[in-house]
Amino acid sequence: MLRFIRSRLLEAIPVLFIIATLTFVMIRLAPGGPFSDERNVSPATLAKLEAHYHLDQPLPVQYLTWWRKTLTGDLGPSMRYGAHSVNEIIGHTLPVSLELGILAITFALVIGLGAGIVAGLKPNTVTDYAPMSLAMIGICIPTFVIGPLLLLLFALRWQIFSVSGWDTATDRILPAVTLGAPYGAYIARLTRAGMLEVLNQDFIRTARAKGVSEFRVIYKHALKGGLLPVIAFLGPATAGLLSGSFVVEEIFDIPGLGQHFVNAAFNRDYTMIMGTVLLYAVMIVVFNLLVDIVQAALNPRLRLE
Amino acid sequence: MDQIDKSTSLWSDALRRLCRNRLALFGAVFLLLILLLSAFAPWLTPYEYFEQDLVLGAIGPCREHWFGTDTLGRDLFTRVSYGGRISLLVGACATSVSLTIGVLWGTISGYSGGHVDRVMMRVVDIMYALPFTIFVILLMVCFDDVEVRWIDPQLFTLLLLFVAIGAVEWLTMARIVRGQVLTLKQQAFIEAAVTLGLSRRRIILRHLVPNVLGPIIVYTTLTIPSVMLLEAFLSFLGLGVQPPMSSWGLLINEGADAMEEYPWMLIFPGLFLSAALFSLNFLGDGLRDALDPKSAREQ
Amino acid sequence: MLLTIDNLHTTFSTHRGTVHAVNGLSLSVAPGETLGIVGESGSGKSVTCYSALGLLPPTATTTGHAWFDGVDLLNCRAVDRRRLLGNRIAMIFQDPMTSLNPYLRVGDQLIEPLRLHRDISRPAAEARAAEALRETGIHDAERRLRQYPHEFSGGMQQRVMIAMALITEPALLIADEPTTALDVTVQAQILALIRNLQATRDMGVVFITHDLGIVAGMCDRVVVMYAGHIVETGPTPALFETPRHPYTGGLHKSLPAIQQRGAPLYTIPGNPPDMTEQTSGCPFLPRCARAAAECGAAPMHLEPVGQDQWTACIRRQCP
Repeated sequence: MLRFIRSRLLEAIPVLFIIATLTFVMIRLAPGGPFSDERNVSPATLAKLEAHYHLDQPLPVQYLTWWRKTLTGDLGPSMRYGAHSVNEIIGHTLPVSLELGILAITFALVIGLGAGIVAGLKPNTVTDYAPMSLAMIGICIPTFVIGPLLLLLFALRWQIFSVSGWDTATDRILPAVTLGAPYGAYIARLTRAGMLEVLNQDFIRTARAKGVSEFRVIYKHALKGGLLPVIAFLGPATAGLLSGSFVVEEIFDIPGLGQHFVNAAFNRDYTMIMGTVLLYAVMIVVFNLLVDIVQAALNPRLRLE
Repeated sequence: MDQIDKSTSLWSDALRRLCRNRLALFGAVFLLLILLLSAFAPWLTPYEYFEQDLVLGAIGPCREHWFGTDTLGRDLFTRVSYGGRISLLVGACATSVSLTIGVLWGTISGYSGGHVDRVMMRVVDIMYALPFTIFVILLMVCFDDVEVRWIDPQLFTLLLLFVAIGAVEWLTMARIVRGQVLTLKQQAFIEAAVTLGLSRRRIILRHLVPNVLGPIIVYTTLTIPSVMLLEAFLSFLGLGVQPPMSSWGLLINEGADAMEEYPWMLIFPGLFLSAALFSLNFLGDGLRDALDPKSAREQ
Repeated sequence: MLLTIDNLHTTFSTHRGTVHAVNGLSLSVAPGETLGIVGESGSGKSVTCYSALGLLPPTATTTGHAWFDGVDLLNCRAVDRRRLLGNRIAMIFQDPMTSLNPYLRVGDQLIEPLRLHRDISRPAAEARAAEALRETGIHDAERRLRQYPHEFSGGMQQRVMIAMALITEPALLIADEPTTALDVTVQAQILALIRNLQATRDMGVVFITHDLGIVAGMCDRVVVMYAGHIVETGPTPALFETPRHPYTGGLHKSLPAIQQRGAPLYTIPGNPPDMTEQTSGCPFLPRCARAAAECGAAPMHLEPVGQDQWTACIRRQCP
């Protein structure tokens, strides 16, 4: 197992390297710079600013400098919010985004697994069609339509929740539901398919022939195999959740990292872009690794390979 | 002969199964309606999509303006119809881009086999791990205001959308195509050796190609909605086509800002986007059931 | 009698119509007896047993009675049936590779019947499981208990299935083609194993197979099934020496060992019938060499033709 983890981490190094390099090249190829929007900046001040952030040095030197500092854990100063370092901004906003993400995926798992199992147990009945139609709706109505609609109904019309903010526990509900809904829908479909597949297997019949109760057949014999597709989906889902949170944070005005990422790209805040992209890439790598480990733990046949 | 008869009836079989699937049929009809609406938008409405009436402002649905107007007094029905053009165009073109890349990559990989295959599929594996949406956003943001003289800037944005989205969505397609090419290679060999009296070419064209085409058609149908969703997502973030042009994502963004007073500005474009995605997904599911009954059971 | 099945009907609703898999079947098994059920694929052998134990999917409808220990398995509460399954009645299946749960350790699957039906601690159950594995000829049982099914060969997996079925010392064992998926040498070992274990426990066995060779070696009595009906039944020697139903005769003749070397293999002409249609007369009629007009009219029923031998053929006197 340790060898597996080590080899996966080693594989991640070139991936991270490619991502960082690609990002660096892309944002430097793009026209404009971090200070091009600011008016009333004299050429002298601009030169001073650029010198301050080492933007006057040749690109390869800047690239290597960035790596050297990044490897020591310093992502550099933000070029837009001069007083703050990228580390500080991430430190402030990442916990918010993480909390939102965790709440959303929890919501998605609870709803998705529940609906999927119920649907998979009695296929082609009402208890199958009803949750699966809902799941189809969840997949087809995009986050940026559901979000404003929920806001319109629950915050503006009925005033159950506040319109924006991230202060009380109730502020978490609408964003988490909005972000989690499509994933819940997907998980429901995957769970249903997985359960149907497993429940048709011979070993389920063996379990029934042993006098195992229906409840135990499901949770002891079927669930492990039935959930494998869901576990596999959770890897890409985290990547999707990250980008989905940009939209949700914008709709609900949440002080998370997602908005900073989009704004940093608009503002050509080079260090901020590099920092956030690298952070996202690391998170995706880590989540994919976790998913692989969980999969191996659930599926003994995978462990041999 | 039995084999060949079976293969020619594959399509009619599939068509019959598809027609029995009412949801898929409904999806196809609805999609056709949206297509017609978008295509004939200029003849269906007396307004222009950029035509403002600031005195009028935003008014709710009425007889002159079926879907109401937006804050600048532009007719929403017109804007939704024109928006459909962009959304569907991006859906079709970006899917073609991804289809082209995916088919080329998968075919070369599967046909070459050996080391080439291993390396090419490893590249796909690695690219799966890249945070692609983030790159698309970066790409759109960074190159959106490139000054281009040789082409209309709106058209440039559209081209950028095709390429950016198409470059993201080809990975799964490549895998599917490769799998199908491998099956084709194997079956072509066996069938040709076994069958007497029928030319190999005939077998491949009439029996094998239709069979391997199924999953590719199905996946293409299912790629279109995810591409359209990505376009709308980018437009919502302000990274797609710019006003006064319109696309569903852009209209939803405008609608979300104004929904407190003018909810119809959010509801109509949201409804159209969702309905289009619904139709495409139902159609895709139906096609999968019809063309690939085995995988239908698994899904 | 250990198990008495009385007038069993099983139908499946499919998109092609209703399939009549079992049509009014009755049979019984005595303690210590081995009953063979033979027939072609689709003749309803396995469905009969699955019906009796309630193991069919919800698309199946079953009527009739299956008495065991004073309980009617077909008309009792699911709880009461489950109390017997894996406890007094055990079953082994055709394909051990798919019949063992690939996600659970062999040990956990082995002790499950004990833990469900006996008041026994986990360590004690595990000790008993190791013993059961050893009885089926698996060495290094303690280590094997910690392994997963894919780490066993096919023959070893079937030994695990047998150990699992016999761990509660059932009164009745139903074996559904337990050796079909195994190669010939392993087949012989598994059959010898079942035979030995049965002898030491005085257990009733229902042996489902399409292999008459196995029947000859294993079974005291045979039931021959065709299209969901019993067409002939009797003691094994009698059925082999004086088959009275043309189908039994055909099955017998198609045994390669009995035929002359070099002669073409005998096959019963025609195909098994379409089970969605119910005929009034003998279902074997279209394939039968001695068929006559009267065969299509009279409904099928078994009649005695000798010492405990019954047949459904009304033209049994004819050559």
